Amino acid sequence: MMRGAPAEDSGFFSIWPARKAVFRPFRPISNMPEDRVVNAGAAVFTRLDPFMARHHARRVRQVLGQNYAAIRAESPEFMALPGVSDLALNHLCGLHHDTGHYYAYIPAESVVMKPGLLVFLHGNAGNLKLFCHRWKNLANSLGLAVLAPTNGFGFWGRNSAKVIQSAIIDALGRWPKIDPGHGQWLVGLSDGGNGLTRAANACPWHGLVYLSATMRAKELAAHDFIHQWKNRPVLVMHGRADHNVSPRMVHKSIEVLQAGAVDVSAEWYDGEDHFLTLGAADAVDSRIASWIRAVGPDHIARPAASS
Amino acid sequence: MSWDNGRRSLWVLRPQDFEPLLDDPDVRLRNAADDYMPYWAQAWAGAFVLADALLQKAWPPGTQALEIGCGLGVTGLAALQLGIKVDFTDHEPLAVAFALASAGANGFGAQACGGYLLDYRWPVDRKYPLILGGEVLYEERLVRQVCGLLVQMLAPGGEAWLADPYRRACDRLDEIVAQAGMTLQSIESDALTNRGERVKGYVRIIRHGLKSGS
Repeated sequence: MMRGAPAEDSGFFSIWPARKAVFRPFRPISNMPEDRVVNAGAAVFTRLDPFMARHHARRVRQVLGQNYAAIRAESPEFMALPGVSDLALNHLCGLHHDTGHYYAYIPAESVVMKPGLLVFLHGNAGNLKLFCHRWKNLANSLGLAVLAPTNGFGFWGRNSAKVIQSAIIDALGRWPKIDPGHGQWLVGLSDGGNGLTRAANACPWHGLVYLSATMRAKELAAHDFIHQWKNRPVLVMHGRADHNVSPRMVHKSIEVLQAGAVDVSAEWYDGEDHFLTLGAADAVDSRIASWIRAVGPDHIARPAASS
Repeated sequence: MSWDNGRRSLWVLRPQDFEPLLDDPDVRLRNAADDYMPYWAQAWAGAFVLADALLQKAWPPGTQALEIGCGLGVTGLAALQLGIKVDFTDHEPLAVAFALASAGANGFGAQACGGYLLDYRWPVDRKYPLILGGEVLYEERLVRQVCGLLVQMLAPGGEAWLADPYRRACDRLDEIVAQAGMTLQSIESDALTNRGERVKGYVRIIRHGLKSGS
């Protein structure tokens, strides 16, 4: 028996497959409105961070405020659902955080009858509704359902594939109209990039998108990754002013992928920082949409597994 | 779980939680080799669509059927209720075990059903007048594999009944079936799932060498 908290009118869902009960001492935080918690946190931390320039701090607060205001206006039912911020704290405190929870956005049948799938891996600070909501317009334009599995604070380790597979199996059973044959894409934000690399071979993805993401050249150079992704599409999107994930390291990782004959496309954004996905949302969406249309399901052939 | 389509009901045993299966070293190896996922542990829309379609037809008692990719065996269990004898098969041993246990829970013993391991890629030398497959065509590569199996294991004059909720993987099914020297009839159908939701899809009836239609 499974249960899910739906906000059907908006197309957003917060799904708790009732398989595991974990101790949630910080649960009251998740019952507070996410926008207030995040905006308040941003107000404090952006002022205390000695490495954050004032104009950058201002922009972070502004972008978060604008995005949450948009969610409140467009999807108040979704915002009203309890969040999962407490699981991020569980993770930091070494408590169990793997509940199988995920957020989902399922486009209405008037938008698309048989959506493909976009799986989004959140970064550090936990799985915020903000990010799942952020994909709504792109999902509608490309005919994709969005799954955003929760992985505690966002340290994507060896459990990455399991967290993702668990969400996919549950969602495919729950919404039979989702058809990965219409596209199955994996997007990783920030530390979600580590999860992306580690789950790159866990499902027959049509492509990977590293978005302001951590990319570890050593892991990308591993035989398993390079062999499986040779001639297959990977999109890297990064702000040149990203202070959280060094553009230099991303450049190095792109070189590794190119050397391995991965079909990598890189998109650099002048003046954009780690909040690229929110601050330049339209440009990011437009690029992802054109890339997915160019390299869609008919374009891809996966190589046989290595022996 | 129980499933009731308004005319008949049946019990389907399933793992309480499929997540531990994802930790199984064998599952991880198979996932790395060919994207294997333990999909068998869920009940899928196509299985309900096919089960419901079967219940709408009168079958000669004792008809011998093979269920391929049986998973939890929803389709085969519905067939058992109609007096059809069913061999549950899957390439996952646990799936066959669960399907047979469900058959027992519904009052069907060894006289009515059996089970064995079967990978689409390696058909065995047995022929059946009826082959069932609820939602087995969810990836393009599987379409050719299943058609290859049908060529080998469908008895002359027999029928294969498959179902899917309009999967894109089946877009070229007509062509692939024709290449295999068989014919395809696709019929739109719907059914209630165990969650009480109505799902729609195609029931695909594949035969040896008759005229194609939809």
